[in-house]
Amino acid sequence: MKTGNIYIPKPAVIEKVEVEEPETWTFTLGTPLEHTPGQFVEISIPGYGEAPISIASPSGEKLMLTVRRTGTLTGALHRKKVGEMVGIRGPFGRGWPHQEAQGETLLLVAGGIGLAPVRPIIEDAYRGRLNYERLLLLYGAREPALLLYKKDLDRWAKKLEVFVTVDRKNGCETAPKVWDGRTGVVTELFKEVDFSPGRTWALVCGPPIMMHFATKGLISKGVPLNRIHLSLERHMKCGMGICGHCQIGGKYVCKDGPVFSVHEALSWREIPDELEGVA
Amino acid sequence: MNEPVPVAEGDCLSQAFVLNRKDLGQLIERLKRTYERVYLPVGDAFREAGSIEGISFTGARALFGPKKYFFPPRESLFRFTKEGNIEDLLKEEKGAVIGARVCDLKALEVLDKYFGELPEPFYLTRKEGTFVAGATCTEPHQSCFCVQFGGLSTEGLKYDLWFTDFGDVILVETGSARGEEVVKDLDLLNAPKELLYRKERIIERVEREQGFRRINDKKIFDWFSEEVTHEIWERLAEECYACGKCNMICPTCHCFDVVDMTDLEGSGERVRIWDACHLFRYGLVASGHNFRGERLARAQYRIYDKFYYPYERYGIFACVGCGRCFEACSADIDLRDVLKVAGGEGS
Repeated sequence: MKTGNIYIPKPAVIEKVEVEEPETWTFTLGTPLEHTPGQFVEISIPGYGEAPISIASPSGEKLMLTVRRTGTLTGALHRKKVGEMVGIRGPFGRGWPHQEAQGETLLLVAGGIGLAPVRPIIEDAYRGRLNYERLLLLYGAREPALLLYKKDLDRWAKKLEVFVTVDRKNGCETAPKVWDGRTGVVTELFKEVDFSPGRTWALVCGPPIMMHFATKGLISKGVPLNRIHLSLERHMKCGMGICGHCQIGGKYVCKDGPVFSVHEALSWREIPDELEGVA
Repeated sequence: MNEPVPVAEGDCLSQAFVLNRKDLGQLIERLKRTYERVYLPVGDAFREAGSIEGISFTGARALFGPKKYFFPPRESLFRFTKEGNIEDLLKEEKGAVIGARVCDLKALEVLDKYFGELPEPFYLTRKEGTFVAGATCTEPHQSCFCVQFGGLSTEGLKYDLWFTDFGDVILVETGSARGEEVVKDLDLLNAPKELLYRKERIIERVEREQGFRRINDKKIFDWFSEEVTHEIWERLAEECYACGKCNMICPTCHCFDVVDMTDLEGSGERVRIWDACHLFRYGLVASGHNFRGERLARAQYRIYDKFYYPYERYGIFACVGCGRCFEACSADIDLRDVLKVAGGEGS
C-alpha cells in the first residue's frame, strides 16, 4: 500500500524548441521516455501548475511535446528557453490500438494539433518498426500556417499515403507563401481516398467538432464501430484517475483512455460531445 | 435512555466494556498519548478535542462529517523553491477520529475503493495512521435514510472501538487489537449483555423512525441504466443552482483541483483543493470547450456517480443515506425523490 509521493514531477531539461506556428511550439526534452503512442504526460512548472500533453515522439526517444499556448501552464512554458528545466509526470493512460492494426490498413484522421498524438505511430511506420498493409494520414488544419511538422509531412509522403488539407488559404493565395494544396475540411478527404472498411482501423484525433464529423464519415464509409478509435480531450488534472475532472460516463479519460473505441463510448450513460448523434 | 444500567456480573461479554461518562476524559487522554490529536463531533462538525464538557455521542451524524480529516479541503502535496528544489510533504500522520457514525464509516469504505485503486498515498497514509471509534446513532436526523442502504448495522465495518452512549455510561465494544489495547490500559469492566440488548433496541427504533425500507440494489442500478432521459432529470436541472454545496458536504465526493500557491518570489506549494462537479468550469478545457456546460448534464452526472458508475466499477453505491446533500441544498432537492422514482414508488 505504501507508495511514494506520486504528485512530484521528475525534472527534465529543454533541449530544443521548434516553432510550428507562433502559438504552437514543439519542445524536445533531454529525457527519453518509454511509452505507448497515444499516452500523455503531465508537464509541470512550479508556480504555474501542470497540463496534460500528448507525446509526439516514438517510444524510447527523447520526449517531444507539441504545445499550443492556451492557459497558465502553456503560457509559462512558452517563456522557457533551451537549457531550462520543467517537470514531467507519466506517461499516463491507454494508447492507440496500433499494434492490433498491424498487417491491415491504418487510417489516421487528424485535425490541427491532433496530429501530435498519432505522430509516434507515423514515425515508427515510416521507419519500418510498425508494418501496415497501408498507412493513410488524413490531416487538416484551419489554415496553411497552422499545419504542424511541415518537414515531416513531406518526408512521410515519400513512403506513406499522406493527404493534407486546409479549411482556407488565409493569406497564402499569393507569393511568397503560396498554398497550392487542397482546401476543405478534413472529412472532405474521405471522398478522395479509397480503402476497404472491413480491413481498416481508424484513429481519430482533433477538436470535438472535427472528431464528430470524422466519426460520422467513417461510419458511413462502413468502418465498424469497434475499429474507430478516438483520443478524447478532457482536463486531466492528476493523470492517475483520482481527481475526477476528466471523467465521462464513469470512465477516467486519463486512465481508462484517452483512447476509446466509438463502440465503447456509445455504450456509456453519458455520450461524449464528440459523438452526440453520430450513430 | 434513563433506565439504570445493571452492574456487571456473571452474564458479561468479553468484547464489550463499560466506560463511565466521567472517565471519558481519561479515554481521550489515552488516545492522545498514542495518536497525538483526537477529533470528535462537537455541534455540527468534527473538531479537535478540547474539554470534554458537553461531549456526547447521542443523536445523529454531524452535518460535517469526518471526511475532511482523511481528505482535507486543502492539502499541500509538495513545496518548491524558485531555485527548483522540491520538498516532499507526504508524511506519516497519527490521529484518532471518534464518534463517527455508520454512514461516516461506510463512506470511508467508498473512499477506500477510489483512493485504493491508484493507490493514492496521502489518503491511504492518513487512513492507516488513524484510530477510528464509531458511535451508535440514538436519534435519526430528519434527512437520514441510511436504512435504505442497510441501516445501523456495524457488521463488516472496520473500526477500533464502537461507542453507544447511554448517558451516565458508554458501552465500548472493541473491533481491533489497537482498540483492545486502549480498553486494557483503561481497565474497563466487561459490559453486561443487557447493555447490548438495549443498544439493539435503540437501533431498531432509530431505523423504524426513519421510515424506509432497504433498497433493491439491482433494481436501482437497472433503472439508472435505462432512464438516462427520464423527465426527473429535467426537473432537477430546473431546480438546481449548481452551487456545489452537495459535493462539498457529501462524505463520498472526492474530486479535487490542483493549484500552485506561491509567494511573490516564486516559491510555494502545490496544493489540492476540493472541487465540485456541479460547478460550471469543472468540465472546461484549455481550448475553451466545456464538456459539461449544461446544468442538466452536471446535475445528472453527480447522481449517476453515486448510483451507476461506482456500481459498474466497484459493485457499490457511493451513497450511504446520510442525507447531508439535501440538508445542505439551497434548492431543497431531495435525493430520496430520485430513489423513489428509481425504486418504482413515485414519479
